[in-house]
Amino acid sequence: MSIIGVVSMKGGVGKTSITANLAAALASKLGAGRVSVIDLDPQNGLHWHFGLNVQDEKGVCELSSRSIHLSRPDLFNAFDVACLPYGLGSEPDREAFEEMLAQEPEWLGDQIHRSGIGRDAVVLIDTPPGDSVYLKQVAACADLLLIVVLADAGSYATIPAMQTRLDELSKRYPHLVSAYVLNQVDQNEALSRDVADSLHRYLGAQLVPFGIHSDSAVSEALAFQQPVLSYDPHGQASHDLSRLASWVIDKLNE
Amino acid sequence: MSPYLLLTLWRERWGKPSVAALQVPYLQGLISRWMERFAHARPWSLPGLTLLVVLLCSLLLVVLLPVQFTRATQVEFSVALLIVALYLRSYEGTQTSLVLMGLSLLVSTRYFYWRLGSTLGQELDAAFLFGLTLCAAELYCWLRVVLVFVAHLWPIKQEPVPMQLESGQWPSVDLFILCANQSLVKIESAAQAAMGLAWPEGKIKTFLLDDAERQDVRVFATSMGVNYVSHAANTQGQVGNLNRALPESQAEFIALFECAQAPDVAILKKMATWFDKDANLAMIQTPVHFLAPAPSGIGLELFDKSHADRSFAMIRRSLLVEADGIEAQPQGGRVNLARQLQAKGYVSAYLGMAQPIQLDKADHAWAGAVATPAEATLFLVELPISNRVLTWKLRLVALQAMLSFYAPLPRLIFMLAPLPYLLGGINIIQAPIGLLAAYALPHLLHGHLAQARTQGLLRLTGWVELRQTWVASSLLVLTALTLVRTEILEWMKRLKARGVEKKPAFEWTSAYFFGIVLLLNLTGLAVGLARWSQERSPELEIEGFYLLWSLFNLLLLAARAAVNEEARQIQYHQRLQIRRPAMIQLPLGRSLSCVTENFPEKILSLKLPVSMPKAFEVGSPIRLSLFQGDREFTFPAEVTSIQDRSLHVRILDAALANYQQLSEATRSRARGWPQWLPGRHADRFLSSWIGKVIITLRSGFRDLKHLIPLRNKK
Repeated sequence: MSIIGVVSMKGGVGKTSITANLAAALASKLGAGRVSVIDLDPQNGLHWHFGLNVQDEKGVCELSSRSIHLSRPDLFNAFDVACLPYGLGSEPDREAFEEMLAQEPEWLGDQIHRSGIGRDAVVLIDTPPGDSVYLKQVAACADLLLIVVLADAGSYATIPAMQTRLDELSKRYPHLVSAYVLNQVDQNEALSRDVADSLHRYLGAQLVPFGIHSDSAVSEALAFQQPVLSYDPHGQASHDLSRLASWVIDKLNE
Repeated sequence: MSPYLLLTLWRERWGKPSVAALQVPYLQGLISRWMERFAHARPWSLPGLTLLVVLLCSLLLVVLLPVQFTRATQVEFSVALLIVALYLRSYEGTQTSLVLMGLSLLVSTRYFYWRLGSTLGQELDAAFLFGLTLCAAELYCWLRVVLVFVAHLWPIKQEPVPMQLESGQWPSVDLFILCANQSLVKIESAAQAAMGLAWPEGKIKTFLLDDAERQDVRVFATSMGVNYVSHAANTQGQVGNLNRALPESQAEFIALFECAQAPDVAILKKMATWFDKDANLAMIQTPVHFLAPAPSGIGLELFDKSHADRSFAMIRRSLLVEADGIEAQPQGGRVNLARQLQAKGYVSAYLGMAQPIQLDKADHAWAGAVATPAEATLFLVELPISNRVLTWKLRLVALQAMLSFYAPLPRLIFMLAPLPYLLGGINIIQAPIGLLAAYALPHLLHGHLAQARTQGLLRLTGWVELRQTWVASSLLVLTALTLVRTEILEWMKRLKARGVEKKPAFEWTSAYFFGIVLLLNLTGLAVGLARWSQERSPELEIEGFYLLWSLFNLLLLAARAAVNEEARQIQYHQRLQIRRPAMIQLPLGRSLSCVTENFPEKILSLKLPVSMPKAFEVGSPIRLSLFQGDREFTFPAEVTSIQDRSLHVRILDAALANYQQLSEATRSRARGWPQWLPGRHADRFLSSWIGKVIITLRSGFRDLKHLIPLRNKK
């Protein structure tokens, strides 16, 4: 089983989109029943990408007392991805959940391993921006951390902090592999081009060699409540996400 | 893919000088001058002297032929003759070639006399039969070489002939332009080019020959003042149109042009002089012409590729009328006006105009593949030996063409020859190895030396072997089929004409036999080596000889596969360069991933993943990104046209310099292999051959894999 955490130091970089679209791309490459996503972001936005609007379904934060089930066939949506939302829990629910997570740093990993999914499954986890209990949980169980950055000054400024955090994490979890993904690349903008170039120089092999191009199809796809790969399969963003999926598979198989 | 092209690619890939640069000019020295003077000496005109010398030489041959030397004497004799040949070969002149051919004939005749007399064994057993088969194959190849010698005895040196007559007395010429299936635009340009030919006015008339009547062409012909001859009921193609127009022509000569080709301005002057010189000359044609079968591959090489893009003929009209026009052939048959004229006692000639042309794959494949079967058909179906039409010279040429066509068969025998001993313990050459070497090596060396004189560009002896192996394994099935029944060849031709794609089947058969021969040789080698290592072999020397032979076969097969492999790789990389990933940014922030079809061109053709006729408007600006590895380069561009899934865009002038830089940067790397890598230029014999064996095994297995799906299809 492979666990991929999608993280970032800064909000609004497209983590949730990348998680959802990457999951759909992986599912189209790996086949049905192998890819699941868990939303650990209290914004609870991930399920929109798959067109799920189930109010009665319990999310992760309400399930904290019980166990997580990822192998239930009814969890799999039309895009062959099992999606576990964060849940619509109230403020006390969330605080209790976070307190529990702080006390049991291995909780998420244990739950995933006990969730009944097969050895060949891939689990993607979306997290809120910045340092949090969620990031600690993900780092404790993940095989691969995808750090989403934009080619702008805001993202660039957060990278030293992220590197420090990664250094600490890699001391505790030596098997953890991390890679930066450049999102919303636009070669037409001089600043975007320059930042991308300096990121390539600064991060070297830690940066995925290709970025995800800026493409309005990604936000349009969310409006239509589907992954961009099914909304606009021939767009450059879909093409890049598909490449990213192949890259991730290769990375996990290394 | 012709062996010549392969050789070129191979040499280019290893950074060696081009094939043309390998040609070393022959020396001019005292020797060649002496021989020239000797050949043209006055005493030769004495009656009977030539006959006397021929008789003496024949007597010398008869005396030398059966002399049984000991091994040491044979070696001394051979070395002496080889030294003479090696010294002479660098000098130019027909006489030098003749001496080399004579030495080769002497040594080879002695070799075969000895082989047939002393090495086949006394009893009629398996060893005798296998030995005789091998000997027959050797004789077959030798006979081919001898016929090539005969064909090249006296090269024709055609010097230009000046026109004898005043221009007022020049003969009249009718230009026939073949316009069937051509557009009016092409006909117009051809007619205008015909008007520009250098020939006195009033002595030249133009005819446009067409199938069905076309009004627009007739109007054009009238406006130009040229004749238009249409032939609606035509069933014989171009020949029918020619025969139809023949009665309308009154001129002394008919010049035949293809509509699509612009003729050389002075071509009529160049041709007419030859007719002027030789009253028996009925026709001059380019080597490749629909009026006659093409000459053999070697013949085409000698014409310096003038065949590739020209089709032209000039015919003496009176003789054509005398021959009752051109005989149309039944379906699939090849028109042969040249032979028709030869039957009446007239001669025809080839026009060897050297045109500098690009090395075009299609042409080369054509020259190798089509010319030879045509010759074999001539031999088998029309039996030139019994055909009274042909003179003895033409019969010899046809015989040589036939032997060349069936050359894969003896080649296969050589490939399989070591197996009887290695697998079954049957020694097929019953002679001491040392003596065999003393006889066989000079025979082969002299043969190569003399052949090299006749081969022009193919003067690379080792490559001749490779070429033959190549031809053997790819033509084997075709050859075998032809041997059984020529009609099958005809049938295959008709299949081809019907447009049935049978290329995979052909490759399949080639791979199949290649695999079998390879496997047999590998097995033989393994068995022989096992025996050798256990020292169970009765005669270690003979065992070693056959092992070496088998190894040599494997190396040839390996080289063939390696060349095949590399040729494929070169083409692969060339194609990759023009197709590169690209991205179009659409208005409103959307993007489209696509592939370029012709990368370095300024008007880029892009292959879209889906047909999107409404997404683009002609003239609208777009931003285009090209990817080089993981790097992206964007260029402003403008849509020039859109058709179905292909979109044509023009890079805007402002970005053209950058685009040019990208194109130079990506294309400056040569053909997939960086030739600047250290160690690439050195020939590393052992390691490179081992590499070739590995490649062979790999591609051999892949070829075998191809067999399986094809079988399933049946």
